[in-house]
Amino acid sequence: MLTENELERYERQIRTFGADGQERLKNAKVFIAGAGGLGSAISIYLTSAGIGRMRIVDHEKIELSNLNRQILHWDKDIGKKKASSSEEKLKKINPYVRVEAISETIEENNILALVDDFDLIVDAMDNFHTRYLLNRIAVAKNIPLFHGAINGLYGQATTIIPGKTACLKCIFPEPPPSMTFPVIGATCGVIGCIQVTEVIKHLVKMGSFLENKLLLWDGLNAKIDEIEIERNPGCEDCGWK
Amino acid sequence: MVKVTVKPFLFIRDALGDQREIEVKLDSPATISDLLSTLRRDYGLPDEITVGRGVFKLFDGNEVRNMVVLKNARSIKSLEGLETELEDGEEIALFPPVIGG
Repeated sequence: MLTENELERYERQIRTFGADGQERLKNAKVFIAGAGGLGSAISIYLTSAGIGRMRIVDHEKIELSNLNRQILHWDKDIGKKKASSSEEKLKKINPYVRVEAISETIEENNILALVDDFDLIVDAMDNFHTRYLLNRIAVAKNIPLFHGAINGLYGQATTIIPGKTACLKCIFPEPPPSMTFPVIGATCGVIGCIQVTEVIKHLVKMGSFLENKLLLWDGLNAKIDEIEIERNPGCEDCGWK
Repeated sequence: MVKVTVKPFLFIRDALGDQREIEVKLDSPATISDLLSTLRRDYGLPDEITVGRGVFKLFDGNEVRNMVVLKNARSIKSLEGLETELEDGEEIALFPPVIGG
């Protein structure tokens, strides 16, 4: 049940999706992979929205060059773990949310335990090696994966529903080469907020989704496009489903 | 003759003259490789933008190393790659992968 204080805190969004929707957010368990640029925008908005329980995993420490975009981390936090910095800030934003930040590298041998019984995964990673692990676990556990990625003034997002939509391996059968990517903070904000919007709609059960569509944000020319994508029946990750 | 619709995105669209869709006619039989050659020869697709290991300098001096090609919403990497055959009326999407977070 929502308390009086919660009803007031979330009043503007309850007008959008009702108290039932807010209850659903409160009962939700959201796993966020990464507390960097995307992870900052995603976790701040999901915390403000009143997700019941959030787990954020990131093994890195905060560097000066992170601060143009990783808005959860501040000048005073340089050298600290991103996990502890995230937990500290998010708990202050909304004390009703159970935030747990873990400083670990997501790997094949720990991902099952990390994702545990969480309802969905939000991808805020910066490499395809880990994204493929998230993709595989989402398919195996039959839970949605909300993908986002950024580069400079460009971004992309899609919502993966195992067994229903193309998965990351269907779209990108081979990993794009890794590189040190340029980015402005606002690109993380645009894509992270699209991912959060998808997560909230999924949880409160409203609207339609970026299913079998890859949204592309062209910030350089201020354009949004969608690319149709399709499941690959022979996909090594989801073809069996 | 095979007529396909090319949909370029992000900087690949910029390189092709900011067109959302381009109708390209090719001699039959035609493959993705033939299409890319035609786009390079007649439409200004830079040689550096490749499906393999090419390096393309972005407007900000940074580099993108390849592009993704979808035929009718499926990656050509899960089809026959550059040798994937094209049929009349098919749609080809070209976009650079975005990887950061």
